Amino acid sequence: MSKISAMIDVGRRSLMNSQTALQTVSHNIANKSTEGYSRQRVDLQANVPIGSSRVRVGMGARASSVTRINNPFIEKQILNEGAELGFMNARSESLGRVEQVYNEQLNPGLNKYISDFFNAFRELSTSPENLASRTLVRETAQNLVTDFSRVSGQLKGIQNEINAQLKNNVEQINQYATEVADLNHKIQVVELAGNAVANDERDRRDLILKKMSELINIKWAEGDDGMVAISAGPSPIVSGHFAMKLDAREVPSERHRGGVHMEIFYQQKDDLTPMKITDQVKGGSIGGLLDVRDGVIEDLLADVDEMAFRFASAVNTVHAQGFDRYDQPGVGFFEVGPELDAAETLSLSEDIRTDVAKIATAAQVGSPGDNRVSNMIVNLQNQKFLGGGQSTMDEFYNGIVGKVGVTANRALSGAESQQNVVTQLKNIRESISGVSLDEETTKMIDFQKTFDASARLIRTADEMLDTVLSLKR
Amino acid sequence: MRVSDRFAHDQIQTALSKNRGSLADLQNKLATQKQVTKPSDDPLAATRVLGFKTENKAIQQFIKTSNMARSYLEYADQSLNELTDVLVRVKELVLNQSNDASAGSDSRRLVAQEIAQLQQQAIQIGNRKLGERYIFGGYNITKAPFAQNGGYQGDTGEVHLEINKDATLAVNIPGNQIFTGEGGRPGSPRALKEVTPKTIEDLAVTRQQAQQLQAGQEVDSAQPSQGGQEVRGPASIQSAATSTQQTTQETVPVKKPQEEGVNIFNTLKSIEIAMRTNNKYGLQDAINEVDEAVSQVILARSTLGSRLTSLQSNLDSLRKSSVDTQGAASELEDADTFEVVSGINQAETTLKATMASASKLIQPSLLDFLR
Repeated sequence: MSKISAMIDVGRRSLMNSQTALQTVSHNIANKSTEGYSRQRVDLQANVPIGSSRVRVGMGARASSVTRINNPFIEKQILNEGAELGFMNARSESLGRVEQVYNEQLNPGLNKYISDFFNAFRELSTSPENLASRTLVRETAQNLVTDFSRVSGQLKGIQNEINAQLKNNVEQINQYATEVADLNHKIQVVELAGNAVANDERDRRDLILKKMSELINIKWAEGDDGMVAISAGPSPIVSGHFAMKLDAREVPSERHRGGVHMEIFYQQKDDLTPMKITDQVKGGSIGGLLDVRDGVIEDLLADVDEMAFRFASAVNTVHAQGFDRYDQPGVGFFEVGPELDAAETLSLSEDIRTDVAKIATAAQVGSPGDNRVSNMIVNLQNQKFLGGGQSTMDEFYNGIVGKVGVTANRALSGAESQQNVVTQLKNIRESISGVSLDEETTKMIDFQKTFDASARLIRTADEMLDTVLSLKR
Repeated sequence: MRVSDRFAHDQIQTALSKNRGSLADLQNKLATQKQVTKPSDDPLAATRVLGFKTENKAIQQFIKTSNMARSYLEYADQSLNELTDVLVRVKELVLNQSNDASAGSDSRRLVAQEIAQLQQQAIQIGNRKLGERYIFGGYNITKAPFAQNGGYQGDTGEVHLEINKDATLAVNIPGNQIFTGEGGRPGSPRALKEVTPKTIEDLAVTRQQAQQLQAGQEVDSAQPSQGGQEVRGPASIQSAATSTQQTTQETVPVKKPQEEGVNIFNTLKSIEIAMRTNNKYGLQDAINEVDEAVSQVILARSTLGSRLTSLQSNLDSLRKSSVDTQGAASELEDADTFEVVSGINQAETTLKATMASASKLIQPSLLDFLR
């Protein structure tokens, strides 16, 4: 049994449905470039027909819900691979800077200054009586000392930059945590109210989770109430509506050079003592930065310190065996501190710096032409006094450069291939959830036509009513 | 496959930045002319290049040192050549004056003056300087090695220079070996035993030996003096040598001079005295000794000569390895310009193609056809 008023009603509902659909199309188009946005679709459903006889008349359509097109598995995969990418990117970027410290392809570095130093002593051997060759020795030794402290200083500089980045990242995490807690709340409110889904909030929350995992290793799970709980490293940082805090600050340390070190703390509540969690942070860019700072750079600093310390001590020992131009036993050539931080603190001894005649070349007194001690210093270049008696200065240093090169190379290619993996996954995600203008345009035309037709329908119904009303006339 | 707009844009962006990246990389190679611009480009090559650089620097230094060593040796050789001339002249004079047929007391007195001058000339040769450096003084290079009376004031040091990896060469012969015949003849086992110490342990051994040697020499000098103006024939040399051996053999394990050489200055002095005293027989005896002296100098010169020869071959091999290491380093780190340029062309073409396809991909949208 059909009624004209029902027809108007169907038309009216269809008008509204088309409007809803067109609104969604415009929402999609507007968010075409929004990061993490999933395109939305209006689910239209045919209304329950009325009439109990054999003629069941359809009652038009209704918009049952607006859903987002999204594959949660892909999102999860992106999150996991993104965490790996964050780790690798941070690592390869900071290693790229570390590598520059040892890059002698374009700039002079320790390798050059070491061989300059020994060659200056070779020159001194040919004319120990000559003041010019003594001055040359002093200058090259000074250059070498300066370069030792340059290497050490630049490495520590990178550590400091990393510390600044850590602080930034930790602040970012705190912001994200607060935002997730906020979104948790909103999602809960929206979804409790009815069976609507908080599409845009969920998109945003997924995006933030991804960003967080790029920063730090997180674990997360969604509860029945639609809220996610997140733990960053070992510590729960978002739970329900509440966000906890991480903190990065400098604390005194005996283990590290410089005595102060930036550590990451977990602050559950303002009145509780912060917990140090630095060692448990393994992933994301914070993990990568920590790995470079505490692993790679600390090792390199230890290496350069060992090198400076052993080298200076060896030269001093030999030099002490000799006699200078005043027939006095050789003074200390280098001023060398304890092995920790030896590279930074190494300097020429006051005596040598002020008087080159105090460079001892002779093995016996009264022999200005005796070059035996300077020959012995030259010979140190071929002596294996580093790495537990395994390598010479050059071998040791070149080994370091090789090690840095290989590490940087591997980090770089690893980051590149990881980037490809993530790009690939994002492409898949965009192909599922991304907005296509062509598609939206088609839909727009489609729904516009539906709108037109529905309006026409109402007019027709109106005319029909007119016709019916004019029957009596 | 569903292609969303963002997908297409991302893909274009990735492709463009990749192409631009490789183009920039190639341009950097072209600008620096190096294919390894940082260690991570090729860690193995970078390390080996560093090794080659060190080696090459050392080689350049060895070449410099060798040239210096050559000038020392050549100068010593030239000086000894003059000494030989002096000695030949002395022999000529002695031969002339050693018989009564061609000479008499007057001529001998006259010749005595020339001999005295020749002795001074010999001392001057002993005091030759190269630059600021006395070449016959052993380690004592700042003081004239020979006093006016011909006494030796230098020491027995042999200056060794490093002329190649692990190879040293002595660039001097201490004057007492050549002129006063004290330190053992050049080339005799005594003169060859000196090795440059390489480590502190070596030095300790060297010092111990030196001490023992000094102790031995003190024993020597306790022997009746053989110096002065005493004329020594071959027989007296023999006895002196054997007596030295006997006294030192028990106390000193190091080798002592097998034989003492000729003290040229004393020989000349005694000839002069013989001339002045008109001692014909003394002159006849001296002929032998002058011959000994000449052969002593020639021995020294042959030592210098053999050192020069080995120096020359060493220089040749240094120059060769210099070229070799430079070539090897260049092979590893230098960019092949041709390859890089063709790479740039290729990358440029790819970039243009990407841009062309991007313009096709971005522009058309359904909207363009709905007018």
